[in-house]
Amino acid sequence: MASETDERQVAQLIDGEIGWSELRNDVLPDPKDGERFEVTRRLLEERVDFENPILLPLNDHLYAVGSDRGRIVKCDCGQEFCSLDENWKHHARVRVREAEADHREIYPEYQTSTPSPPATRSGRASSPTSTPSTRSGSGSRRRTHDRIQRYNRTNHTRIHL
Amino acid sequence: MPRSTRTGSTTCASRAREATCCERRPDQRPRRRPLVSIENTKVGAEKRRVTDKRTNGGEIGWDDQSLQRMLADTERLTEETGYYRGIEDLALKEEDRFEYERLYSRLRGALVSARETALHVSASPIVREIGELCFQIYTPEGDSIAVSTGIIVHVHTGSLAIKWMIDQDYEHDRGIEPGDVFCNNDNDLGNVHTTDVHTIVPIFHDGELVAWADGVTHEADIGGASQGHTSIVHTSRFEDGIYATCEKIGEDDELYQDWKVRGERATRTPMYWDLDEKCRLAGCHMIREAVHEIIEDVGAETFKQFTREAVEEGRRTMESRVQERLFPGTYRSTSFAALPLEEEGWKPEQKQDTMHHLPVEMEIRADGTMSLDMEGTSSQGDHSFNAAEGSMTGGLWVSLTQCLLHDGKVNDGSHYALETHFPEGSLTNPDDPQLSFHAPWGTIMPAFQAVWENVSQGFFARGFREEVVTGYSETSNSVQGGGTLMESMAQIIPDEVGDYFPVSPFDLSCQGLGASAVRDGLDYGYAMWNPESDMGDIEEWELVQWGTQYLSRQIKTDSAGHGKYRGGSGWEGVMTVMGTDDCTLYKASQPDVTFSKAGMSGGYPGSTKYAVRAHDTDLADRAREGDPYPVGDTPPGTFEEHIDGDVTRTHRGNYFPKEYDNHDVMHFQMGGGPGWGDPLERPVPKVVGDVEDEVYSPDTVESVYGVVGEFDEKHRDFDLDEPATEAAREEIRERRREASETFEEFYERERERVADGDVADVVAGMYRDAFDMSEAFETEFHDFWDLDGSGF
Repeated sequence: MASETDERQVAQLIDGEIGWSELRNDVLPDPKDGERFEVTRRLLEERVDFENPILLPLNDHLYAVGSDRGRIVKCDCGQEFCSLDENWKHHARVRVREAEADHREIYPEYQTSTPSPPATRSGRASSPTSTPSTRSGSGSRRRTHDRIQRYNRTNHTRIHL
Repeated sequence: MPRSTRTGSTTCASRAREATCCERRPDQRPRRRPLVSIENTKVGAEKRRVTDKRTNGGEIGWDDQSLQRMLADTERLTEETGYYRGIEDLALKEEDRFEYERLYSRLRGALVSARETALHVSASPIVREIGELCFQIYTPEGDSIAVSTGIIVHVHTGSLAIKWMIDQDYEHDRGIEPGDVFCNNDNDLGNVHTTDVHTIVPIFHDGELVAWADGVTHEADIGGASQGHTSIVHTSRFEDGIYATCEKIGEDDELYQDWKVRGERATRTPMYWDLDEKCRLAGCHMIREAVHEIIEDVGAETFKQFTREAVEEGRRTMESRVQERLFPGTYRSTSFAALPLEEEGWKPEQKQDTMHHLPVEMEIRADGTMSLDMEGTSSQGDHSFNAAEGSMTGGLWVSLTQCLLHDGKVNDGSHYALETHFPEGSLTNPDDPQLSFHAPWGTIMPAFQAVWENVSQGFFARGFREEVVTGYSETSNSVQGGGTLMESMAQIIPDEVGDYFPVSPFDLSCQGLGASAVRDGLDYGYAMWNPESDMGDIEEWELVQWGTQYLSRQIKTDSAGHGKYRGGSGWEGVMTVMGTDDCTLYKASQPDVTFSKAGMSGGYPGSTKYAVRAHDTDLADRAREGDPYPVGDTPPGTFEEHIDGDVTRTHRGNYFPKEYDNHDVMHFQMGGGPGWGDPLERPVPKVVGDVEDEVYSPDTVESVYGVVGEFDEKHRDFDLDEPATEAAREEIRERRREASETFEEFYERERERVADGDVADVVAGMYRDAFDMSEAFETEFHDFWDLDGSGF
């Protein structure tokens, strides 16, 4: 078990409240706290409302947790994403900022990627079987789901972090 | 076009000749070279011993083995046992830990001392002021034992060069003897980029080669088709400048006359070249002296055993750190690098816009070993961004020493704990030595953004969130070039009439560091390739860049990547040209027209870079009248408000050498690091502080952080409007819900674009090239998008 001091420091690390002096002199240097993983895991469990055991943190809000369905990816708000064997990003909402106006909300002019040029075909003919871009019905989602599942089965035995 | 005209009689070259004593005074008698002329009696005696030994058929390796035999045994024993040279027990360390650690400290202290002392021999501010040098010591087989502070990217580069010399049988052919001096800057054989020049000195004791000392400095100029230390202009080796290919450049502790003449005539800055070389040689000789003293104190056998155990300890340290701090698993990330040269390129083969694909997969294993795989990397090319395998492993060590091995005990033992795969023929392992290797950092830096993200995910999962680093701003815009002083300026600096002055300030070494998972990134103070580097004083640069003057350095507002913890801020500067007859300047920029990588956990990347310059200006009139002149370009577009002239502004940050007349003005900027976490979770008081410190503009914090208020610029006071802030944050959350889509919707839409080739040409071209390089990557890509061979 970590000492009381370690627990306080780990809690401060999680909350972003540790001062530079303590971070520089006590936390960053070697040797590291040998119980860090367990202490972090326990403190995180105390902060979420669900009962699932946290196996490890994936980012600020997502965790690999144990459940009746095996290991899953779960958000601290309670949203369950998917099995840990899958890529949780395939179960998240996506926002793409492509237009220059969308970039301007984040970065000033000239300080972001070159605005999307008009698509110029690169010498390869369009697929004759391509479908209209408006397709987004449930059948389409089903097919997407199948594609991703197939891809996961054949390629992804790894944990996606 | 760059010019390197030297006029007048008192050039750098002539001063260098005085300094190097290449020429005899008329009253001097020719010096007869004695059979063994080494002033160092120890080395002289060693040379006689080795000569006798070789005459009688002996070998210079330990126990009368050849170096080739020692290298083969080391590789075999390490492969068979998993321990360096089969050393299962660190007997010396276990017997007397204090003595072992004392030896390590003494050896590393000698390296650090050599660096700190020898840099004063140099005249180049890159070496003397910024500390762009490093010293290493290697085993006879070429395994790094210890490394000094400084550009620790070179832990393994000297190793590759020494092993190449052993493989080429230098010991029997070219000869390796006490007092010999070798030089290498050939990336294909062991270097990072061409302007890093190594001096390598063998250290003998009792007729045996006991170690190698290696010193490396970053040169201001090595000749080549364009000025500067990291040129983006070159397309082949034949434009890169001086190449020393594991070349013997001296013996009896003295450099060959023809080698010195070559340096004088083949670089634009011969004085810096000459004194940097003396700096490296002096440092190597200091290290040799230190090794001799250590052997005298503890005995040769103890020293030999220590060096072996030190490498094995390095391997174990690496494994134990990985076990302790990284969560096992397979981690993947990809970086991208844009190289927009269609408009700027000089040669037909380089006049194209391209993007480089830099995928990184790392496997962290429970036993502490790791692998790094860049399958799917873009192909090598006719540009200067080719990174040899040694460059990539250099990037690896300079990264790992900052996140896993920061106690100074890093050596080639770490190398044995790690498997790497840099695909042959790719940007990260070219198979053609005739390519240009002048600016491999343009590949190394973005590639290692992906490495750092992978390692940071491992730290975070393990609970060591303070060790997370989301990435960094890549070290540009590097301003480079050079010129010649005009006659009138010579009245002020009479000795410098007609002298060529290089322009290569290391402002670029102060970029924004990415955020960690517990705090903001370091503002304008980080370079991934040298954690000790700084930007240097303006006055120092102006002392050597006689024809240039800084007009400003200031924070680049809105350059830091957004997040709960923001990235470190970048900065911007403005420079003008005065008192020159001719001056050409150019700018290498990265990230340029694309982001290299995102932030982490919802954070955003730092801003990209761009270019503004003004020619034929009214700066002199403004100075005379006391009118404002440009001190930045914040917000973008304001540069032009304070200067009249021919202003060129491009979204693209890089440009090739342009002629700069007196009073022409150049703007450059250093980038911000990526952020960590959702910007809406950044505490409001911190955002207020960001505005008051000019890290972010009021408009940006309102649209990104939902923080609203009035900013009194004069008093740097931000008056927060709390109700409006609360409403703005909720509005941003609502907009996120409205503007986002399900993954299925995103996937279908993107899949159709991929299938139709409905993406920018450079993106499609990047993927097609990666497919040509890797069938495995192509298969994975097409499987993911379910394309059945369609699409680009």
